Amino acid sequence: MKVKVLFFDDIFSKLFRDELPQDQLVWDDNWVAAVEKGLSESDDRSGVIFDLVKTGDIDAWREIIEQEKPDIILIDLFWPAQASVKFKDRNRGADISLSAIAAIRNEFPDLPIACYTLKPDKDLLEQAYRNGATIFLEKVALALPEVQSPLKYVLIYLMRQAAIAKR
Amino acid sequence: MINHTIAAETILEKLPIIAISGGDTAVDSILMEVMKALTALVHADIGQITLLPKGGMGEKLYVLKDGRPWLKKEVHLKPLEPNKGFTGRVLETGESILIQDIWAEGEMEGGNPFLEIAESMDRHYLQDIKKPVASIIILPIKRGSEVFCSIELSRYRNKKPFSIDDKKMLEKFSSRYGSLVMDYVIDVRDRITVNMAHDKLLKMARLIASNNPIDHREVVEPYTRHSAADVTMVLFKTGSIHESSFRLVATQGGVVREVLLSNFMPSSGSSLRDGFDSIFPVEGEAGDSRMDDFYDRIETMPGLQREDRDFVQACLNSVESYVIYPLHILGQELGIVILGSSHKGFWKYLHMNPFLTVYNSLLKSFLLNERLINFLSDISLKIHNPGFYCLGAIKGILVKKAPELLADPQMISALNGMEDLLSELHDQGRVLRWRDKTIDIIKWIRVLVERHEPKLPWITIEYRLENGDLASGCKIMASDEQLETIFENLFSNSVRAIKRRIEKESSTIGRIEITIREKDSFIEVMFKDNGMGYKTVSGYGSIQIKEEMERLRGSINITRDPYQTLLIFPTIQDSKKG
Repeated sequence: MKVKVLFFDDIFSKLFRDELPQDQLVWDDNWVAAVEKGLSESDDRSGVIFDLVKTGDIDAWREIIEQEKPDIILIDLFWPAQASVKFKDRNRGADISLSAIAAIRNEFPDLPIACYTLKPDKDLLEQAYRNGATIFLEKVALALPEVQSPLKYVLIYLMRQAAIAKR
Repeated sequence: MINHTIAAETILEKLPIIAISGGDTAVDSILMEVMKALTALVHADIGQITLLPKGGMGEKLYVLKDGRPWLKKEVHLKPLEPNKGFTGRVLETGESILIQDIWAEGEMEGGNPFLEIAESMDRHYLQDIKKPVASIIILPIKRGSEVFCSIELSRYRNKKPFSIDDKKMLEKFSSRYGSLVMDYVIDVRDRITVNMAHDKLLKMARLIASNNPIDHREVVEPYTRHSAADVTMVLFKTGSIHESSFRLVATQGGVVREVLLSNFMPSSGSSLRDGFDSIFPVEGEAGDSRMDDFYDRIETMPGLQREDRDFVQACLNSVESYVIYPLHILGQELGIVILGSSHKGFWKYLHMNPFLTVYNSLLKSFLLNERLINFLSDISLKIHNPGFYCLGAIKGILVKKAPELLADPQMISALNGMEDLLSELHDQGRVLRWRDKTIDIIKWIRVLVERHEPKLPWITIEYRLENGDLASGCKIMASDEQLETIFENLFSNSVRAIKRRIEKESSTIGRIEITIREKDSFIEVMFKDNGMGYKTVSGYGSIQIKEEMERLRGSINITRDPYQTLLIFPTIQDSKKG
């Protein structure tokens, strides 16, 4: 089975990448590579092939979803560079993703949305669920595919639940 | 024929109505009425009012030429030596004076005092106001025996000179009403100045208490309005700790331009540096090395648009003397304020008055806050990315290449220590996060109305809740400063509109109606008055209201005839009641 994952993370955005020098971006990129590898090893074990579409253009969520037609959304919650431009306040990074989640949920009520953040807190968890997230996760910064691999089982579970709901 | 009694009655009837209209144009409006009446009384072409403070320099308060105001707001004439010229004679004797031709050599015994000072006068003033006239009358306005003001009326050279009868008529007016009118004018002027200063300080205080972005043009305006500078240039340090860029806001003749000076490294000895031996305020003049250096830097600065470069250079070219005040505070170099004049040696008038000194201190404090928050925010971001990812990579490498080290208690302790340290710094950065406050909007508006009622006894403020329970309240996410900005602007707009109607229809009783409606997950506040349309000075108030409503994720809808503003705030459902 093939599952298309639309992966929103500020790591992929030009705004974010323009802010940090290459020698610092390398650590973020290592982590993304570990996530990709963690998901890509899945076909033999779980029978699911994950097709990862990576984007940092959170404002264009509607166009991208319509174009890519993903089975599931994976979204980072903290977008400080975008918040700096939009609200002149980096600390409002979560407001960027939360409003996107609410809007996606409004237009695509059945699309599973998995969100995650590096340093979760109770308020953010509550807000994410209130805005329409399907599951709230902690982002693990460890750049090891083995550690990132369990994410695929979370995604598979969400796909199954969505399929049940559709019946 | 108009006589002095009718002129006085006309003026006295109009003054209170003009004064109530408030705003910074009220003084000019009053003075225009006074000058129009007096010039009409004796068929004068030009009328002037000069303030003569005891022991100070004379200040031209108003000049009317051919029925139109000549003295523009942003033009600062050179202060007058009160003891010189014909005005000096009036001040000395306390008597009015009639001169047939101010340019005639032998006009007065002992020489013509005007000709002695003509060369030192402002050249525009000399050209426009003095050159075309011959006959003048100068009247002293007194408090008891002390002259505190003079009124000068002149006729063009090609007209018949003033007569003794003209002078007598003016003297009658002056002795009966002069002091009354001018004291009233000075009183209104002082009141308006205090109100404006208070308003500016309040705005700055709200800016400090908010997370709103700074509007550089807006914060620079008080330096232009409340100083004797013809040219104002304020440089704000911008960018990160590693770069030196400045945002320059230059103002001249009512034109404001914002220019970004990218990678602008201040020269050694520049006022932009707060060296250990820096002394402020700096006084300087055209042609000094500081001005020449700055001019050359602008000339050769890459990336500047031509219009910006031309404007800044035109500003610098028109400056004959200047003072520089720093925006530096606690060792942080945050920028400077340059107050420039087209007059030579104008330093003592350019220095900041007490209001501007306080304002400047508040601006420094705001800029320092903003800078620190930006730096801390940058640090917080670095901890988040790449800090945590870097630590994650180290752990990953250890797992892959030296897993036995992960069993080493010292290694575990070091990694945990690093994790705790990064987490702690990350959380500390979050301390600065802006937190919306929940405010009971119904109670908040009630308190606001109660606060405004005693200040506006001539306006009835009606306040009602159309549905829902007034006592149980209704909460929204907002800060006091945001709501103050919105409602203070609405109140001042309404007060202006009502004053405007009273000017036209003096029997009007002002009324402001605030109606509150609860609707699903929103609360609607309708703000309505019975004023009439007026010309806005800046229109900035409405923009501020719209911006704040957007930040609060609400909306605003303004309709005309009748003029009313509908504000819609999203409410907090969970904690709405109680």
